[in-house]
Amino acid sequence: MTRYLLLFLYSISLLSCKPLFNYTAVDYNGIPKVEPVLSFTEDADKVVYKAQIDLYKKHFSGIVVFKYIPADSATRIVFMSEVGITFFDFQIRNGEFTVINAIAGFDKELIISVFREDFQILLRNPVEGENKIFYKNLTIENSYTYASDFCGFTHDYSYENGKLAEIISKERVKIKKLIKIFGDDAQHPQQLIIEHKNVKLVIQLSRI
Amino acid sequence: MRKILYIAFLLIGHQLVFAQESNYTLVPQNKEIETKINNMANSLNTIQSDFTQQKHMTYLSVTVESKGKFWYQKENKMRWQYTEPYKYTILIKDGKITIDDGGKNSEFKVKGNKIFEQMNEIISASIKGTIMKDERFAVTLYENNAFYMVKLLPKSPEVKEVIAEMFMYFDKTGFSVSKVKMVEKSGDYTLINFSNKKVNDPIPASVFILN
Repeated sequence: MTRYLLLFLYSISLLSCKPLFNYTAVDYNGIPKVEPVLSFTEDADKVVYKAQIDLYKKHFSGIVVFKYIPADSATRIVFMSEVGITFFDFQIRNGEFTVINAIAGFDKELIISVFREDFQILLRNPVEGENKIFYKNLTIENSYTYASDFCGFTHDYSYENGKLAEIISKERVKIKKLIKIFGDDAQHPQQLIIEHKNVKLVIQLSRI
Repeated sequence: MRKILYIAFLLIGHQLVFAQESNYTLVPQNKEIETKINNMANSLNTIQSDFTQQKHMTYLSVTVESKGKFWYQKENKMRWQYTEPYKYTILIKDGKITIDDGGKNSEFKVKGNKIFEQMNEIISASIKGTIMKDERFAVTLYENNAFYMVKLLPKSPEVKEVIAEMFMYFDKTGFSVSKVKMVEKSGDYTLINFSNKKVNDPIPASVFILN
């Protein structure tokens, strides 16, 4: 009985590592151009999202502004209430995260660390990370997965039809976080859904 | 060249804003104005208005604008309904705040949330005309041709942490609130402009119910 159970668990673990079956490793030159989830240019240097945050049974909301400041070579992220009160103001510069300002209640390390990691993932280019493995999906045309180590986790970047569709953050085979990307705008997607699997937390960002 | 133009633009912009604010002159303690504001408040039962809200982030050069409708009914029933560019409603009634965030409802007590509590009291006091005597703020009165501007400096450190100063603009003809400006420590500010105001028109009870 134990042998069958072990065999079953082994099969499940193999299935969760999808690159082993439907994917084949490809050369870096064979992949589509990789950009961060949110990227900025001189003409499109900011994007504003309505945020809906569900933590267990509590619902929170607000407005998130992402703005690239060329003079600082940094992206500022401001989260405020619908009424206009700023909750926090973060900066990410070359991957380095800084808290510019956070009001009482939002200055707790636990809250900051959740947002820090989520925002860093949205703004980083996986190709610039280390230990990249690129796979081509053999069953879906023009679909790729990039496995990239970051913050001690593996991140699978799945592209469908040349467009980033999903990022799966994993610790070994266990999924820690799922980021779903919707909309045709490659620079500023229409909607982002970040589902945390270790806590009951879902962050939904809808472009306004 | 672009940098010079940008700096020039900022300087001119700053001068225009400064000129706008500096049109106001200090009004010494004035019983007559206080009486007018109080009289208006005493005769006021309801207000309905459209509003435009602009959050100005100075350093980022970003302005986030939203629009909606506002209802107030004596005593302390208020509804803020954002309609553009998102749907979001705040209903304050019977000491409770109910929020409808695009169909997701949540409810909490006004007293449990210091910032909401203070903001609610500031708005109520402004509408009721008691703001001039509010001891939680250092209050100064200014005027120009069209408005009385009440400058409020919060005394509570908790409120100061969030709002450094507030300006309420009362129009001189109707003595009702026309604009509210909330300035944060960083210098960023939120300006709410009220328009199409209707005073003392009946408001259906359904306005103060969120399904």
